[in-house]
Amino acid sequence: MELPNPAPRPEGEVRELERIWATPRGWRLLTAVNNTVIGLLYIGVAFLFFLMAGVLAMLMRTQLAVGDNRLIGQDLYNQMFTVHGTTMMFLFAVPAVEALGVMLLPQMLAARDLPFPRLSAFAIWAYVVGGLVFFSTIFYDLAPKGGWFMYPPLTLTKYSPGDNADFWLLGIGFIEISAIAGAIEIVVGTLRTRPPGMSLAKMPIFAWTMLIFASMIMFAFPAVILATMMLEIERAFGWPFFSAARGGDPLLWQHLFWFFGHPEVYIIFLPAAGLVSMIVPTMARTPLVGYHLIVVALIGTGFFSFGLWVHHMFTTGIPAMSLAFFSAASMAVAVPSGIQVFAWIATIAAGRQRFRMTTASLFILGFLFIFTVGGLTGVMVAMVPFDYQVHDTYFVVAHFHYVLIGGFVFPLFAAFYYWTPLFSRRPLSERLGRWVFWLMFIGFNITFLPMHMTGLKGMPRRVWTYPEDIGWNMLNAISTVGTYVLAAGILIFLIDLIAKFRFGNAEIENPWGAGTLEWLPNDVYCTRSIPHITGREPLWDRPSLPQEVRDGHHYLPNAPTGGRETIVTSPIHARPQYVIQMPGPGWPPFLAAVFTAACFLLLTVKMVTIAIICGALAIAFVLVWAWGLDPGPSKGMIDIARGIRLPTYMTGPTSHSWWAMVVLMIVAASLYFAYVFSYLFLWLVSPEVWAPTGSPAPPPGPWPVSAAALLLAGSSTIWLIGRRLEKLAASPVAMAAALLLSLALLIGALALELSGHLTTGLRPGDNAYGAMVYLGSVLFAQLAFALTILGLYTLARYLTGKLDGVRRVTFDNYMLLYHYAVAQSLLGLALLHGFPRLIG
Amino acid sequence: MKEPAKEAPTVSAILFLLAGPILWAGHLLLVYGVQSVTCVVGSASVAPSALIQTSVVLVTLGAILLLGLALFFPGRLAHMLRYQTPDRDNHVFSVRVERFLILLSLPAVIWSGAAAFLLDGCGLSR
Repeated sequence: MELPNPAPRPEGEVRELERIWATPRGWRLLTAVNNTVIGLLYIGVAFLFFLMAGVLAMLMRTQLAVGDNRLIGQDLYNQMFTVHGTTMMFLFAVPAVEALGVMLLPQMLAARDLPFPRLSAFAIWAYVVGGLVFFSTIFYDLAPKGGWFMYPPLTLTKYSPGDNADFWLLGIGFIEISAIAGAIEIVVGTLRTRPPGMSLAKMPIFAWTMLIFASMIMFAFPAVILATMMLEIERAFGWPFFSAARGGDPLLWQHLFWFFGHPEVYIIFLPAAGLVSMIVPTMARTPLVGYHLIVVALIGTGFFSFGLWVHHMFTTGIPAMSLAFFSAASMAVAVPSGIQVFAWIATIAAGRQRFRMTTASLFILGFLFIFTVGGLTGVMVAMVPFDYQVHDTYFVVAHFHYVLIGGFVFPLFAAFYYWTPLFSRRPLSERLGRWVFWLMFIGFNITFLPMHMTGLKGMPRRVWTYPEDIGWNMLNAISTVGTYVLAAGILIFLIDLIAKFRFGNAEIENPWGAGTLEWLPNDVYCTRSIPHITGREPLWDRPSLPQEVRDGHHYLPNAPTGGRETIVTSPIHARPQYVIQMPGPGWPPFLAAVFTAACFLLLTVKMVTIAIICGALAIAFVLVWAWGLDPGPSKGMIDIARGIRLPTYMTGPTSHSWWAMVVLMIVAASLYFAYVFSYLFLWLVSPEVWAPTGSPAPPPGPWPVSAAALLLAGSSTIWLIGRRLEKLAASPVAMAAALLLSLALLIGALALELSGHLTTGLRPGDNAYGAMVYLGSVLFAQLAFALTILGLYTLARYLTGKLDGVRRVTFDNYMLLYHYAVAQSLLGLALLHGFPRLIG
Repeated sequence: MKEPAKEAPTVSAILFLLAGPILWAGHLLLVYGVQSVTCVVGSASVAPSALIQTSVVLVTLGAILLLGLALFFPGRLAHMLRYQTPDRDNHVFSVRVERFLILLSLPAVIWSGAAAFLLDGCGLSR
């Protein structure tokens, strides 16, 4: 292969890169956006939550060690298992995966950073602040008590008075939004910042898993965000979504929650499988066997995981045939998981040299054993008759800990040992690592293997104690001993980490002799130059690559725009398209995150005025941060290599900002489809409260028709502005009038829709039908609010000369979201006005 | 600047690669939707079980047919979706992924559809 930049590079380029990508020091470290810095913070805080939730687990196991124990009271125990489960799922597992994505993806893709570094920083700080406040509720008797899945009616105000449940609903709802922000970053980053030549067929498996992980978040999380909104609205204002007496149904929560909750298991597992697929070939010193099949297995698992949610509801009285559909899918998902396990075993067997038995390898082998056992018990509980017997018993607790600890925690520890040399001057101790592994492996199995038996003997989950003479003592005592052994392993790891980890680059660049790009010579700017990729293990295919990259012989060896930048490539074949200019450190993402967290948490404790002020400040800081994101085309074309010149500015469907907005629209659409499902589900359950017989008929035809006409007029206005932006740019009055008109038409449509329903006498608290009708308006209002801010921001940029026919990214985003809002609202009008007429 | 190095639309790639799982998802949505709605709104004049069983069998046969077509004629599907992969590596990768995903989806569809022959349309299993 001919080198993209064969000539020697001029002096001073590296110093310039170091200056541009330097990490802020002192207090300004809070403003850092470099992926290595914020990624470490992210994984560090996620690990802290793992430790804290682990301490809760130890306390619970101590309580259960003997029957009739009074060490911990019932109420505190309820809070502890709720916070333990919630923290492990929402504050440890998903954030740890996103942290690994933020830390490792730019290195694996040899990108200088992911495309939205400030969005990453915002997501991370929001999570840190929100997560710590949520966890601290356990210390003030304010923690939720409804289990990590918070089923109504237990969590309705009648049975859970006080603010405890609200901390879960608002806190977790907010952290999910942070997860979605991270997912947008990962989807766009994986598809658009790969190095030239790295087509989909050459992408590292970890990048595949992160792409699938983030895509799954886009479809799964909106369902639970809608559910938390509905439950919080019911608790705060009495709209009866889940109260059976007024046409609601608690099972709706279970459908929405598990539509998120089951994919969540795979959202956690798939990236861990990606880590394994990266480590196994290195330790076996041979390429991964069955790359294509593993990609197939990952995609298949991701898809099938969305067809399993009802297997958490086998005992709720759903018809047998429905159960059969989901039982079939539950068993089908075992096939792609099995493909991966066999591919890893085949890779280990295929190596010409002996499989290297490092600490990371031990954790991988431990994972294979534990996860396979968890998978087998998963097939058992996928069978409806068996599930009837063990539902809500310790058998299920044993099963999901085998899957989650085996499927995620063990690969995560393998990753810690494998990738620490990338971020620390000294690696972790291999000698202590073996102690860590064996203590964790033995401790884990002593804890959870007996739980299968405890469950089969009938011990239910979530009980704070049990009678001494019922025959569960010995098994519980063994489990408790196991917990302490497991904790001892983690404690040794912690001591080793504190003793050895020092931020910086290791002396040995590629200690394991791996073949993937993250082991190229790295610095704060990632790699000196961005390599051209011709295979899946570039460092094995071309041993001279590290030196070539270090000497700047590949793409973009310098900083031609004078700022932070990386190459954007096409999503399928990774052909260079343009150079993205990225923002550097700044206070706005940090402050926006702090005030967003404050807004949600103050709402929880009903301090509404201060919450609104914090919300306004959060929006203000987001706008300040966004102000510098559209630099315009002033830098022109630049050379990234001999003979290759790329633009430094892009608008339209090729630009990364367009992609991010499309991802956001998919998230919004997922949420809206969850709403449509909820509407139809409640109608099926309670047709007697539905219009036109059980509630006032929808307003007469002219109301929805007028609202639809306003929406279409708004869309047409936006379309016309888009077409004539260059001409309109010369006429401030016309441009301002057109933008304001589009907003007025949207808000007018919302007002018409709302007042139409009010005139019929229908009120949201009347019954489930009324609640669903007005929830439609709430979702419409959310979009209208976002568009109002974005529209006024677009106008402000235009009036300050930062928006014209060429520099139009802000307008394009407004246009996309506007058209989406119109499409969603038209669907809403058809549903809310058409459906009652159809069934009437 | 709006028109840099172009390639097949990403949506085409997604639809081509994921044809199998998309058809599986459509099948699950239809059979579950039809069965749930019919059980709730079905009246005595229309035997819900017969209606459900007929619908599930028809939807399953339709899904199997479409999956079969996509499995045996990937070129036609790619052409229909305007998905082109000029280099051999990516072509082989795309077709393999598409076919293997169909092979995973096919048993899942048959497995679900088989329920129509084994269980009553609306009865509870306990």
